[in-house]
This record gives sequence, C-alpha cells and structure tokens, in this order.
Amino acid sequence: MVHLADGVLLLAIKRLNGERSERSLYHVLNGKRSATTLQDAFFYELEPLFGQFPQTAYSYESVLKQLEKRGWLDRKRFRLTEAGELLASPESVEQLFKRLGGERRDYNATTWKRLSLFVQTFMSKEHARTFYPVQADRPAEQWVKQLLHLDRDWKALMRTFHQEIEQALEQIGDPYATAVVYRFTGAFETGLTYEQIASLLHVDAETARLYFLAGWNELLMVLPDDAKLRGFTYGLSTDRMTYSARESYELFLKGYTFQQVQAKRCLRTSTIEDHVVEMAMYLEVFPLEQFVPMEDVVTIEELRHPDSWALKPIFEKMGRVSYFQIRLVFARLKRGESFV
Amino acid sequence: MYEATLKRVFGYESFRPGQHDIIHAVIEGQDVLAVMPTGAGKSLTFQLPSYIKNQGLTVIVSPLLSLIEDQMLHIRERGERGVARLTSMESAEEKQDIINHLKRYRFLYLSPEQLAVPYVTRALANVKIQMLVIDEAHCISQWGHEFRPEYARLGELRKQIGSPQCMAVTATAPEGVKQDIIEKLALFSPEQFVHSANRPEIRLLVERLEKEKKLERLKELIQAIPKPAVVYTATRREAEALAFELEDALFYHGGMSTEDRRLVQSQFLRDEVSVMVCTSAFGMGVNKDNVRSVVHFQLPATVEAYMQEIGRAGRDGQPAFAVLLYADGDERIQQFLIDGQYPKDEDMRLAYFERENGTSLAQLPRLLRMNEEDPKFLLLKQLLTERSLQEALDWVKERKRDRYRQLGQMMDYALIRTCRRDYLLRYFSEQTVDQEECCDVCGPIPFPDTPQIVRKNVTEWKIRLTQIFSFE
Repeated sequence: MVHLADGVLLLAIKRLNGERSERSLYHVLNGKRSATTLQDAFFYELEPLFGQFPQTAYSYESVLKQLEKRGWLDRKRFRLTEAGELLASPESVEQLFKRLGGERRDYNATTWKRLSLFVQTFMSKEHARTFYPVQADRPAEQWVKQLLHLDRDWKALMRTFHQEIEQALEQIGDPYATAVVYRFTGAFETGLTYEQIASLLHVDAETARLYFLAGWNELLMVLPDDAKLRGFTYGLSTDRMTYSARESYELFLKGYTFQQVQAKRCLRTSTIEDHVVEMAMYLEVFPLEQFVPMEDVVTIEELRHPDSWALKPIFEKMGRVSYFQIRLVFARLKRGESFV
Repeated sequence: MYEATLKRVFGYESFRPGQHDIIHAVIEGQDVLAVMPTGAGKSLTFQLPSYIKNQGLTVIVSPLLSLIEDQMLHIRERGERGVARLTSMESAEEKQDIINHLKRYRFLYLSPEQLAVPYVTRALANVKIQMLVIDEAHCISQWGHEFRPEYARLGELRKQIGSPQCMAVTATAPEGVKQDIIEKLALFSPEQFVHSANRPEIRLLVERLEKEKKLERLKELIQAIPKPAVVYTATRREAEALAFELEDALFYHGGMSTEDRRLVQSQFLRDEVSVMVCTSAFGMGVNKDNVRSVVHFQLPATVEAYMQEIGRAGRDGQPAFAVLLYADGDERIQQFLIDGQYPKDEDMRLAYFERENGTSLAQLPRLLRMNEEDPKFLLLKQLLTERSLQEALDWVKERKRDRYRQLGQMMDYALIRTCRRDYLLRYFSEQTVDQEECCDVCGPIPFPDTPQIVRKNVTEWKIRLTQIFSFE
C-alpha cells in the first residue's frame, strides 16, 4: 500500500536533487535552526516540511531503509528511482506538501494549543463537566487561564469563532476540514487520534496527521485579518528569520558595517555571514552589491546550471568568489531576481 | 474521629476500609508504611492529615508525570489551590517562583530527580515540612519489579531536608521489598498497614492455547467479556496491531505524542471507546472505576506487575474479569525485554577498558552505539563510577537471574492446576481465602451477557463542529 505521506517524503528527496545528504533532510524534518539547514530548506523548497516530521535518528534510518527496500530510493546517490519518481509526482502529493506550513510551525502549533485548550475549557465549564485537558502545555494553560479572566461576552465570541472556523474550512474543503474539526474536543466530544481520523478518511495515520497540519495551516492563512480568532495568535510571529540573525540585521539597518557588526556582537565571521545569508533569503530588498561585485553576480548567474543549487562547481570554476558570496547570489536568484 | 474534616474537605460521608487507622497513625506523628491495592484510596490517607494538623508542607515524591498530573487534577477539582509540582514540565522561572513561595502551598508534588536538585533540597530544608510521602515506594527496592535508580537516594535526601515524618505507600510489596523500603528510607519503627492484595470482585482466568490461535481467540473474547476493557501487550508495535484488529479499540503507548495520549485517555475515561490496547505505560494514575475486564495478550514480567495491571478492573467493587492468554514460549518476549534492559557483557568490558585508557564518559555512547538517554547506558554509567568490572559483571548477571526467576513465577501462575487466587495470595505471604466465582481452576466462570455497544455513525464535519460549539 502506498500512502500520500510516503509521497510527501519522496518528493522532498526528489527536490534535494542528489545534491544534499541524508543527514541534510533529517535536520530539515526535525526543524534544526542552523544556518545550513535553513539554507537547505530554502534552496530546495522544503520549507513546508521544516520541523513537521520530528523523529529520532533511529526511526529516520528505518524510514530510509523501508523506502530503499520498496525500490523507491537509491541511497548511495540519495536520489529516487524511477518508481519513486512516479510516486512523488501526483498533483495531490504536491498539494499536501506545499500546505504543511513548516516555515510557520511554531506559530501554527502554539495557536492550535491555545485555541483547542480554550474551546475545551470554556465548553466544559459551560456544561459543568469535569474534563481532562487535551494539552499538557504550561504556557498554553497559563495563556488560557489569563484569557478567561478577561471580562468579555465569551458566549457571543464563541459563536463568532465557530462561524469563522466554519467559513475558513468551507474554503479549504475536505479532507482537510474533517481532519481539523475532529481534533477539537468539546464538553461531550473528545477529539480523535490520528488513527481514528485516518479510518474516517480511509488513509493511513501519518497521512491523517499531515492533513491536520495542512488544514490548520491553511485555516490560519485564509482567515481574514480582522477575524476574532486572530486573538489566539497574540504575541506570535510568522517571521522566518532566526532571532540572532534579526539582531544583526537591526545593526546593519543602523548603518554598521560587517566588521562593526561582528565586533559589536563578538561573533565569528562565519556566524555573521550566516546571518547575512538569512537576510538575503528572507528580505524583500537586499543590497547584494555591498557583498558581491556586480560582475561576479552576473557571472555566477550565468554559470549556474538551471536545475542545480550546488555551490561547489561555481566555486571551482570562478576561483575568486567565496562560498558565502555564491550563497548570497543564489538566495536572490532563488527569490526570482535576475541580474543578467 | 476525622469524619468532619472528611466531609468538609473531600465531601465523603465515611472512610473506606483501613483509611482511618492509617490517618490516625499519621496524625500521631509516626512513620508509616502502607501497602494498599490500587484504588483503595491511598492519596486520601496523606492528604487529610494536612488539614487536621496544619503544620506545614506535605511533600509527595512520585515517579511518573502522569501520576502527579492526575492527583493534582483531583486536588484542584475539589477547590484546593495550594498545590504545586516540580517536574521536568515546568520552566526554570516557574520552578523558581514555586520555590520562592513554598509557604503558599499545602501540597508539593515532585519527581525524585527534582528533589535531588541542590537548590530544591536546600529550599525544602528551610521550610516546615509536615510530612514526606514516597508514593510507589516499591521503586526503591531492587527486589521490586520497577526498581528506579533515582529512588536510591531518597533516604539521604530525607535526611538533608531535616528528616521529616515519612510515609511510604505502595500497592504491592512482598516481604523483601517491605524490608528494603524501611531500611532505605530509614523509617523509624514504622506502623505498618498491609491491606490484603486480594481483590475478591476480580475473577481470575487463564487460557492456554497455541500461538497462532491467540489473535482469533482475543477477538472472540473481546466480544464476550464485559467492557470497558483493557488489553495489555508487551510491545508498542503489537499494541498498535491489535487495536487495528479489534472493534471499537484504541491503542496507547509511550511513543505517542502527548496530545494523542490525552485524547485516548479522555475517550476511554468518558466511555467513548470501549477497549484500550496498551503497554504497561497505561494505567499508573488512571482513575477509571468501571473497567470490567483486563486481558493480558502477553505474559507480564512479574506477578506484582500482573496484580497491579489487573487491579485496574472493578474499582467500583462490581464483578470484573482478568484473563491471561498464554501460549508456550510467550515468556521469550519478556526474556528479550529483560536482556535489553542491561548492557551486554562485551559492551561493559569495552566501556571499562575505554575508561581506563582515558576515554571520557561523553564519548562512550558513540563508541558503544548507544543512545546517551538509554536507561541501559545510564545504568552502565552508574556501574562505572561505583564498581569494578568484575563486580559490575556479577551484579548484572545476578540482576538478570532475579528477573528471570520473577518471570518464572509469573509463568507458574499460568501453568498451575491449583487455585490461582491462592497462588497470588501466597506470593504476597497471605492466607488463602475461599470465595464463590474464584478462578477457572476452582470452577467455571461465566461472563454475564453484555449489551453490544453501537457506535454513532460518522457525522459530517459541519455537524460535528456545531456540536462542539453548542451551548444546548
């Protein structure tokens, strides 16, 4: 039996194009916030998966073994076989993949914890039912507790929440809507596990889990900006940049040079370089010329093979530019800019 | 004598058997060792004295997060705010806040690891502690079936916080374990209360069959026995596979996400699902009175574990059933699991050799291809600091032999042709009892007719969403 969730993983391997290692994907799946992993996710379009498959090295190994055994993966080259390519190609795999929301994973997950716990707590109190909290998360618990102390017409607000969720899910449709709704716990209905949702939807549990992640991510995406539910995202950010990179960025904004930023923050050159790469990846506007002479930018763009984000061939051909500089140019190219 | 407090604080009219005497001893200031079966109302015996004496903090050490959570939930449910916990779940700030305001609290729950944290120990040494309670005290004994190395330091820690009055509670403790508890915690001529391990409402059954027939038989059995029911297996994978085969069943094991575990427990507690298939991770601390049957698809590792697991059934005092399915060779799975809990001889030799040649402890896991969090590795680390290689090898060998012996005693339960209740009671050094509907050896045990639960059909998501948000 082939499941959609298998397809999603295969598509990830396909996108890595044989240019990155098994380890690289492992770190992306676990959401490691290191420069290399952030760059891998960015260049190979794996951001939707970022951190959405937390697992141990041991279970990752057994997943890969499985894929190899079923004849879908060539582990030596870390590329898909023809059969694997076929499974990674359906439109449905692509659709699910791009909706997973890994780049906003903390934002999505925290919002879910808060809202689901709030709904359960409030509805149980309304119906005078004792309950067993579905979330064992202290920050979420405290957040909900504080919220309930606010003097609001909660009943009216709950009706609004209900409408907003329904309208958003109508736009997204099934199977996503079912996967999201059945995770909620009310006063009388306990949410379903992924196995149970899987049997409702006639898929495997892992696919059901991905439907939930995708459905919830989409819900937050399509929710209007003035929706009352947005209150549950209070204080959360969808920013992809790491906190440390943002600090460096703010110094650059104040007009400090690379050396001054480095001196002020007492960090290694390579660390500041990683921060600059993050800026090049995530910022709308980036002063590329400050870091790479324009003629080199053009040469790099011309030398790059259209399907590849490998740095080494360019580095070897050019000789005079650093990996750091190639990364910066690649980041802007990846964002759709062109300098030729 | 304490009924007024019982009524005022807990809302109960009367004590359950045995509770009053324990409470009395506690209030008199004695050290206490209480062996009470699960569900007999242990927690009340250390909570109520706090309201009568009002002489400071009651500190409760408990090994499992789920246990702590469950008890806190119950305390808060009855309106008591003065309860806090220190576990791995709290942030550093939260911990600091609790430590800074210990006087606010009546009850403090913590894991043994947290009690051993120096600033926690110091803080506790500086407040008035009415009593130190060691829950699941059998974990202190290497003779017990759930020995926990973190429990070994509790005696010393008790001293460090000023040797407060101490109460050790456990559900199961044969003689050797009891002696160990008293010694290790340095209990001072403790009053001992031992409730009979017998649970007359539970009928005991064993079915011997061929391995290939077990699954089929389990399916029939689940149709026939009264529910809610718990099915115990040995491994996570098997729990998942069986839940898939059975109707209206969910699995539960330690490898699931917290949220899913909570959903499963909640569904089971509310009778939204009638069969729970689980590993031994399920149970400790789950208060569900109306479990009617416990089925063991695999042999547990010890008789104590078995008693504790079947003890989840019939807590409401109504008839309940404990069925063990046994096929020849089933014990091999437990043997395998036991072996997996101890480092192999060659790994131990390698570790000692490397240490002697200056390899650091931090490098060992990679050399041995072990996870540094693996309990096996933690044990090895402890052995390295405390024993020579030969002593360590002997120690492991002896421990394994003990565990095999205990497993043998569990096998005997499945194989004997005499009264099973008698066997279990003798194991706990108790007298035989005579009762109707005892076990399958004493006479036939019929299952009562049980109405088959019909589950609601799947509803469309919009209807479900409306139900969740309904104020009707």
